[in-house]
Amino acid sequence: MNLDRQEPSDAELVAQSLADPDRYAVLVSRYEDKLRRYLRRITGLRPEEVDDLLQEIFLKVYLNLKAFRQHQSFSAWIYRIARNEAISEYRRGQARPEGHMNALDEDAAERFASHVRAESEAERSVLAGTIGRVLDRMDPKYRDVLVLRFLEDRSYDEIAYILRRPPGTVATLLNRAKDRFRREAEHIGISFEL
Amino acid sequence: MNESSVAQRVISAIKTRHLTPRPFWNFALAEAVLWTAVVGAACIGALSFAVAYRVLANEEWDLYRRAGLGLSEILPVVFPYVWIGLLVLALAIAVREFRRTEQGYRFGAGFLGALLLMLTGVAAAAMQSTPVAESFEAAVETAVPVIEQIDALREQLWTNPESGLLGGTVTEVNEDSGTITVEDALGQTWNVIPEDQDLSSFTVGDDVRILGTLSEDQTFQAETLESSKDKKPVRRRTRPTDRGRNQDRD
Repeated sequence: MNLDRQEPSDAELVAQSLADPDRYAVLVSRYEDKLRRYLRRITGLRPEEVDDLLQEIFLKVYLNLKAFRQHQSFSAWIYRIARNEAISEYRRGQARPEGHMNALDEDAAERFASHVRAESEAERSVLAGTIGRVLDRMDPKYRDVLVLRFLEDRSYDEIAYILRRPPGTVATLLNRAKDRFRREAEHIGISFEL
Repeated sequence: MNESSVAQRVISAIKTRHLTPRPFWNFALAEAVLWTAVVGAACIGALSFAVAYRVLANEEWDLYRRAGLGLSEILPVVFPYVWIGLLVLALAIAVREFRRTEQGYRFGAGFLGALLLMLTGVAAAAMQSTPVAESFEAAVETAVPVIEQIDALREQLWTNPESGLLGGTVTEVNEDSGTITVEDALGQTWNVIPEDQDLSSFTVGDDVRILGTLSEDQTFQAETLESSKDKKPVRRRTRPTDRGRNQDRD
């Protein structure tokens, strides 16, 4: 067994998928969980509805595979398509913009809380338990950028690409979002800095 | 790697529906269409800018000043509303289409708008007196009848002999008596007596703008008499009776 053998990159899998559709399954499996979590965070659809939406997204990605450029980040590219499809779903009246963060998993909450400069560890863990509730109270445009930055670990450039906003605007939006998050957290009695 | 249920469903859908990735030229064509729209809108913006500049530059600012008319009185009448409106619309389209291109999202609408305004301004300065700008002006004026209505407001400034302003077309030059006959935009004929002016440079058909005083019925004492050969002529408004006559002729 060759332990040094590396997993193929996304770009390599794209090239392989174009030659053999079965290879596309590897790409789907690689992104399925990440996108499922992301879609649940931004749409509030039921699990079976998210899976239907996921299928549509992966089919759309497959149809557009030749639009993917090798110099791009495939991850940002697929997130952009997923987000656009989620918005279309919302416009069709399927997705619900509220109440979906309560189901935030523990890992995600901990990851988000790790960015927080809380006054104490106890406060940080209280916040970890209530992050979903705070995010739910926020305007979707601020929630969107916080989710991408702190839950999906996207860079500023990737967020700019996904949201189709200038990088400078993303930085401003993120600062405002942090400020809104702090204020919303204060409403439920927690003080911290992101 | 075990395939998830979503992966299985996706692969199965691809196979049963015989789906294949769209060819690359589809995306290249879509991008090319966007760029064509950007360049086309920017060109229309530059031409509109050129015409707006020409309209303002060709105004008789000196005559207005000598007639004692202030900028606040003149500008609302002579402002090139249609051309500036077209410029704004073209730039808005160019910015919107540019932001839809592959890398367009990286630039803010405000920055792009300012940059395009500057570039179209430079292009407009270069082509404001070219035949392209003139043809564009003529084509838009034919397509947008409201421009003629706006021009009618401008004409009113020059069909105002009581206030010392008269504009129109020379219908007769009488060097012996030192007078010229001018027909204004309303079709009225005026006997114009210039003050110490050589009339040899005027010919029948010239458009003129005159600053002076109304001395008696249909006679105008001109202090300043300028030919507007290179400028936008004072147009003769079509009167209902003329229209009737033209129709009869048709």
